[in-house]
Amino acid sequence: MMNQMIVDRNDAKLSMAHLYIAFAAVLLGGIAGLLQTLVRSGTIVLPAGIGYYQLLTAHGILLALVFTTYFIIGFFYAGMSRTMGKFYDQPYRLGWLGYIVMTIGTVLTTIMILLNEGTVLYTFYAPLKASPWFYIGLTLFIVGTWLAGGAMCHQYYIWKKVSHKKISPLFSFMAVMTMVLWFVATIGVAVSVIFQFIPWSFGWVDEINILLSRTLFWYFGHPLVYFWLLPAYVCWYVIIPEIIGGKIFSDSLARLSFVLFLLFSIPVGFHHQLLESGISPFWKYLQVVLTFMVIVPSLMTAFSLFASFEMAGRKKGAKGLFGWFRALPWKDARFFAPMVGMLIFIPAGAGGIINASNQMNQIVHNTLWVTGHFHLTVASSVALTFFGIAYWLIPHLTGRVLTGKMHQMANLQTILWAVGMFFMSGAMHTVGLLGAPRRTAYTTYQNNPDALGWMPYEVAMAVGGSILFIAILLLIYIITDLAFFAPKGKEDFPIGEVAEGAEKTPSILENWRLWLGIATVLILVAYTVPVVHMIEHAPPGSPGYKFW
Amino acid sequence: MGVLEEKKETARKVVTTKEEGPNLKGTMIAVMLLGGFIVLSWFGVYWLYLVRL
Repeated sequence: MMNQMIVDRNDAKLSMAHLYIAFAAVLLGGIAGLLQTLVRSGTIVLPAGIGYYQLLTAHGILLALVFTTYFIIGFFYAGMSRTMGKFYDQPYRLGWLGYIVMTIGTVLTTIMILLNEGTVLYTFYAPLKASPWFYIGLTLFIVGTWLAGGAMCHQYYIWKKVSHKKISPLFSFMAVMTMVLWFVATIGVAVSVIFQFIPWSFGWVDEINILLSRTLFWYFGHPLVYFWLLPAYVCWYVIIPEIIGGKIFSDSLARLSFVLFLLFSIPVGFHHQLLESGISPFWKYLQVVLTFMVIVPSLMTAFSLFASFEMAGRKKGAKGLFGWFRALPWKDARFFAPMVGMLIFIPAGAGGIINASNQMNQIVHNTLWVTGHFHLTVASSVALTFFGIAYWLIPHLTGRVLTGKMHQMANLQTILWAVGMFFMSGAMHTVGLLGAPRRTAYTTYQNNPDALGWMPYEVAMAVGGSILFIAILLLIYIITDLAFFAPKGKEDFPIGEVAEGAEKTPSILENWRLWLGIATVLILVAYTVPVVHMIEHAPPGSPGYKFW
Repeated sequence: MGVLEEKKETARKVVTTKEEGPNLKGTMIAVMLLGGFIVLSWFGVYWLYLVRL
C-alpha cells in the first residue's frame, strides 16, 4: 500500500469522474464567457430571452467553482493514491459519496441558473434574491466537497497510523492542507447560506443583514482564491522539478509556505470590503496587514521555483547568470503550460497587492481592473497549470500516452490562451484604471464621452475572448483525445525528489493542532469584534430584490 | 586536537560547504527583479491615486 508509480485503477476512476465534469464545465462556462464579451462590446444581442447577467452567473459558477473544485479534488485523489498508495475502503466510498452529493448540487444550481431563477452572480450578494433551490444546490455542492475533504483526511490519517511515519509525502501533505484550508474557509459561506439566505429566500424571514452576509462571504471568498492556487503550487513545487529533470529545492520550505497560507489567507476578507461602510477602519487595517503577510510565502515559492530551475539548468551544463532559463524544456507541454501560468502570476500577484492596498483599492474597486486581475490569477496562472496537469494526468489515469502531436497541440493551446488573455485581461486592467465598471451589460451611459472612450477596450476584450474560446475548443479536443483516443501505453505521474543536502523536514511542520490553533486565534482576533458589532448594531435589514 | 587545529578544521569545513553549495545567483537576481516589478506597479497605481485626489 506504499508509494507506487501508478494510480490504482479504482482510484483512477474516481479521479476521472471528477475530471470529466471539470472539463465539461470549462466548455459551458467558456461559451458563456465568449457571449458576454460579444454582448458587452455591442457586437451581438442575446436571443431567446437569455440575460447578460444570467450568462455572467453561469460563467462564474461553472468556471470559478465547478471547474476548479472538481479538478482539484480529482487531482488530489490521484496524487494521494500515487504517493500514499491505494485508497482504503472507507475513504474510497466517502469519495464517491462526496462526488454524488457535489454533482446533485451542481445540477440543481445549474438548472436554477438556466431557468433564470438564480441570476445573482457567483458571489450571490444580497439583496439580490435567487430561488431557495439555487442556495440549496450550492449547499449540497459544499457538503459534497466536505465529504471529499473528509475522504482525503481519513486516508491520510490511516496512512500515518499504518506507516508510523511522522512526515507524510509532500504531495499528500499539501493536498490535506488545501482541504483543511477549505474546511475552515467554507464555514463562513455555510453559516451565511444556512442561517441567512435559505430562510430569507423561502420567505421565513423578511429581511437579511447584508453587511453580515457579505462579511461571511468574503471570510470564505479570499481563502477560496488560495483553494484554487494551492493545487497549482502543488504542481509547481512537487511535479515541475521532476519534469525538468531537477529536484525539489526544499521540502521544509514547501511545507512551511503551505502552513503560512493556512494562517494568513483566511483572516483577510475585509480587503475585499475596503469600501464597505459599517466596518471600522482599524479592523480593515488589521486585515490588510495580515493580507500582506501572504506575500511572504508567495515570494518563498518564487525563490524555491527559480532555485529548482537554476539547479536543474546548471546540472545540464547551463552557463551564465540566466543560462538555466534557456535550458528549461520549453517544448514539453507538461512544463510549458504551468510555466506560462507561473510567469503570468508575476503581474497577477502585483495586481493583487494593489487591490488590497487601502488607497489604491479606491482606484480599482468594482472596476474591470478586478475582473482583469482574477482572469490572470485563476483563469491563467491556475487554469494553465491545471491544463498542464491534465495533459499527463488524464492519459496516466486512462492508460494512454501524451503523443508528440498532442504536445504540439497543447503548446499551441497555451500560446493561444496567453495571447487571448493578453488582449482581454490587458484591456480589462487598462479600462478599469479609466473607471469602467465591472459586471455591466452593454451600455454607452447615454453617450457620455468617458464611457464612449471605453468602447475600444471592450472590443479588445471581445477579440481576446474570441481567441480564448478557440483555445477552449482546442483544449476540449486535446482532453477528449487523451481520455478516449490516444494510443494505449504508460504515461508517467511525475513526483519530484528533494535535493540532496536539503535539511531534514522538522516534524513540527506536520503538527496540525498547532497550526490550526494559530489559524483559529488569528481568525478570532480579526473577526470577533467586527462581527459582534455587525450583529449588535445591525443596519436595517433588506428585503430581497429581483431585477432580472 | 588543539584549539588552533580545531579552528582550522572548522574553517576547512566551512570552505568545503561553500564550494559544494549550489550556485543560485540567477535565482537571487530573478527574485529581486520580481520584487522590483511589484514595487514599481504599486507606486504606478499609487501615483494615479495621488493625481486623482
